[in-house]
Amino acid sequence: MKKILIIDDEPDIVRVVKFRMIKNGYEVHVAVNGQEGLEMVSKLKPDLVLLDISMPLMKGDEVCKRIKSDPSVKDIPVIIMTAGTKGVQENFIKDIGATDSVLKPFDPDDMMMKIKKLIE
Amino acid sequence: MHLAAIVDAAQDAIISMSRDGIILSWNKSAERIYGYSSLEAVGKSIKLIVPDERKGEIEELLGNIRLDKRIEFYETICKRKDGQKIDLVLSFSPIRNNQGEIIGASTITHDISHLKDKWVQFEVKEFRDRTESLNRQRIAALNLMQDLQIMQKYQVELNERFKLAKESADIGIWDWDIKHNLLVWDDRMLELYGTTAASFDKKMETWKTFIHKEDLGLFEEFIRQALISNKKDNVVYRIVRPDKTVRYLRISAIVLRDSEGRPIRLIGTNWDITESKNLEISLRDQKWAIDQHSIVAITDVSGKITYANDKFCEISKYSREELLGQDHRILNSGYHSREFFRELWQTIARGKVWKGEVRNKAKDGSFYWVDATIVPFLNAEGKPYQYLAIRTDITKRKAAEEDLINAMNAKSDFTSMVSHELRTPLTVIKESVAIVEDGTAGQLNPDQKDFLETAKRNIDRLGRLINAVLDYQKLEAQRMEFLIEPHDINSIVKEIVTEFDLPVKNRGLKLETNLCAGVPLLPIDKDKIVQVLHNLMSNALKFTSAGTISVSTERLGDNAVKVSVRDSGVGIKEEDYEKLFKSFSQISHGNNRQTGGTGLGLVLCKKIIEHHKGQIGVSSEWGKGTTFYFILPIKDRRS
Repeated sequence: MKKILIIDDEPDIVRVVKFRMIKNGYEVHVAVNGQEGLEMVSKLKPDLVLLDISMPLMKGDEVCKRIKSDPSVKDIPVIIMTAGTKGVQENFIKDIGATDSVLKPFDPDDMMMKIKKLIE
Repeated sequence: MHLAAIVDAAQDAIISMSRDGIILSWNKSAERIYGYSSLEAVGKSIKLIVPDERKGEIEELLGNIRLDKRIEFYETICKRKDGQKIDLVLSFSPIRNNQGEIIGASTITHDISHLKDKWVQFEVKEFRDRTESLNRQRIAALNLMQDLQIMQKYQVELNERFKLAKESADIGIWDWDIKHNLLVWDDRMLELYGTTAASFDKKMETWKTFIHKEDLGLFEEFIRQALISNKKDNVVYRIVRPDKTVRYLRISAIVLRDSEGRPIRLIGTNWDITESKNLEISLRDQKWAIDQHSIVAITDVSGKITYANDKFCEISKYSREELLGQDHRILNSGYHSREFFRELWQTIARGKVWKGEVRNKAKDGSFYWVDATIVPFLNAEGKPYQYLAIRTDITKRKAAEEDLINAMNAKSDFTSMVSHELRTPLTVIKESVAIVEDGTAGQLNPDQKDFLETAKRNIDRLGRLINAVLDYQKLEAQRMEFLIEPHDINSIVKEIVTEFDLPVKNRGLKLETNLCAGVPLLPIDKDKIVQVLHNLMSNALKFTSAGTISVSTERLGDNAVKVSVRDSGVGIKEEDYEKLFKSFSQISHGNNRQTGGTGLGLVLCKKIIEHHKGQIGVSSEWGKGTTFYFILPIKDRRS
């Protein structure tokens, strides 16, 4: 079973995303802040990371950069969840080294399609 | 006869003549001094011994005699028979008949030239007395000589001046014989004063009647000064001509003096400077007006301040003394870059006018903003010799602008913050609804499913609205990033048409495209233009219930390309055209207000197209259809 790690501080977001991922047959893990997220990435070596950008303390972009600079986990795909608009997104993804992005409020089908493309 | 013997024995020439100057008697000394015998002289006019250039003088002397005036020690020059000119001192006395009427004149000629040889023969006492007298006479003679030389010099100088003056228009010449108060004006002079030779009586007093009463003092002072000193400074005064017109005249004068230093003649010019004076007044008024309104400074080419008006002192808080001679850079606030000033100096050094907004530093360290126009003054070679800076205080406006920018930024920050904050709960709602609706969380009955679909549609609408507001805010605050690259507009149109193919067919409409071949690549942000086209297509679809939607591209000359989306929908009334491109002003279509719009779609389209320096517009016929179009320039015209 493929492992997905959700890193987000919003419990409600976590809840709905987690539900859908489980329904789609994934093993879901959750970290509620950046620091915890980084630790779990190293320990768990998930198949994909769903990463929120606006979090207190360590922001999502910093988390992403650290993942991508750690040789042991840098190949794990990271999809960022952002409230930004489309225009800034592409540059932003490139800058932090993320694999893809979904824009809040995300479209469930679009999101699932992106995930499936990356890990199946 | 006794008297005649005495007269003959006299060492001085004694001549008597009638009232009109006919010689009646001629003594021995006269024969010796003038070289004419008594026979030759008597019966002739006294002018016999007067050189041509002094003929006028003798008329005057005779005139005075007739008025019963004695003339003593009159220094003059006479002409001998052999043509030699001799310096003389003359005394004239009237000769009366028994009734006391003046019938003629007698003149005693003191021949100065021979006196020197004679006085050695006198005895000591006599010698002393005579010496004094002779010395006086000698000095007088010498002075006369000097005067003559000076007068000759003047004459040359005057001739030169007059020649020059005569060449210029508007210059009149006047000549005032002080002793006889005879004022001669040339034709030009008469013309300047609007009078004629016939009506001008050649009196100084008459001249004064022409002078503007406010300037009479000035004029009289000038004449007084001219008589005292050889003052050549000229003054300007006004005259009032007989026709009441006022002219500005500049006067100059040269004084001629006799041996005693007494002024005898005053000669000068009058120059009509009304035109230049009016110009000067107009310039002075203009300068005054500018000084009232603006901060004015003049610098030399090195930037040294040579003039500063009151307003300049006031705003810079420096005194005029502190500013003059200072480099203008003392006001530099350090706010602008070196390039800024380099550009400024290069512009004005090339003789071009520079305009811009500058932040300066006052003496007390405070800052002020000015809107400046710097004008180079060019010399005959076209090189700047000084710079005039006219500035307006825009400190308040700048502060207001800054406040406005801050306010706009705050508003923008707030809007994007709110938008971001809205997205998280919206995401949760959307996901929750989707999970329930698509049966992931269990089976639903048709009504439940229907209501959840309605909820979903409105969540999407809210999502679009948030995006639109955010986009609008960014465009408004000019924070939207545009990625301008060359793109083929036809392929963009094709993409959109493909995207809309199905929805259009689903509504039972026809979709046509009419693309112009050979359209060059356009410098555009593809995503933004797609957004615009998407919006126009969505609108067309939304408001058309039957018929055709057609999209076309068209080349407008060499400079632009027009993209049109035409529908056969309800149409838009002309009075509503204006509302279309305004924020949140969806127009109503009768009672059936269509849902799903944000009220910002066309506003965003307009802003996007305007950012490309293009135009967006609409034409419509009520009930027949609408065409929205936008025009994009082929060359990138964004500054």
